[in-house]
Amino acid sequence: MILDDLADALHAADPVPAGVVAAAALAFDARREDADALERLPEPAGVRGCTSRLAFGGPGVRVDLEFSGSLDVLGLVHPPCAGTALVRWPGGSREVVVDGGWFRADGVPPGPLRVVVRAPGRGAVSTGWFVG
Amino acid sequence: MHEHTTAHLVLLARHGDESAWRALVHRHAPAVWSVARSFRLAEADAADVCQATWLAFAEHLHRVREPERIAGWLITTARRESLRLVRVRGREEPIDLWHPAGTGPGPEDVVLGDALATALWRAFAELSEQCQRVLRLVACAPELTYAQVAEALGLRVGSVGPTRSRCVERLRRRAVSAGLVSGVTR
Repeated sequence: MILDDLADALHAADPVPAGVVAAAALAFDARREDADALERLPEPAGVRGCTSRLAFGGPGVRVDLEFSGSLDVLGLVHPPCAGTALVRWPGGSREVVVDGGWFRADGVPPGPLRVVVRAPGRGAVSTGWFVG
Repeated sequence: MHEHTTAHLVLLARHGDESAWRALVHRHAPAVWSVARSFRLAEADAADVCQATWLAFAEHLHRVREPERIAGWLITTARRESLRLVRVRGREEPIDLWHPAGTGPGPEDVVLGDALATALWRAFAELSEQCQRVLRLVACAPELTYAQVAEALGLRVGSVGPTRSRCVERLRRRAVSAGLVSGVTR
């Protein structure tokens, strides 16, 4: 079958890098967040310059994220709250303050990210993984 | 672990069997990688797409309802992340469609171990982008249904079969005219 031969040729010409396979194997150990999962919403329009945006939502809550440079994350939680936001990547994380719904984490590593927002009295919500 | 079905591996992994997870990665990593690469993403971006896809799948594992269909889920997730990065990168820097940066060696630069593979790779590289995308997917993930291929590539279900046949025929014709494929591949 020509497609079997093509599969062999593709694997030979553009093999999956070993690091990609290793990272995929390690994904099994990525800790699950103790938080309610938010759904990815359609990407907001109105992008300016070199920024990109993502939005996540769940019952009664919405988290908007904007990315700029390499890589600053600006977030807005609606309805506004005070608490913390944890920006997690496969090898680590950073916790920042949420004030009036806003939070900011500058200089996070490029690659897969997720954000967990914790607000006293409102529990915790978590975005899924995305590429920042 | 190759004797297990994908559905069985998903159930084992869900119950914490790490070797089942590694078997799933081994089985599906080429298809996930090929989706990212079919969007002409550079190697680092394609690697990020793959990692995000597998992280998402690790979390999705306990919610999988149709474990035999996870290949489609993986590919659809990889496509979504790829499309997003294509949009982001497209705004950051002008894309040179004739000489895309970092998408690997050009077809003339590649000499594979055997002449058949080299001829096929070169014939493939000359096909239209749509044909390359369809053939990459059906070659690397032959277990996908037409409906899954349609979803993964943003095509109508009814057009998958005809497109696939047309692209296979073009690939075969180019490979044959290159003189390196004769009765070997049917």
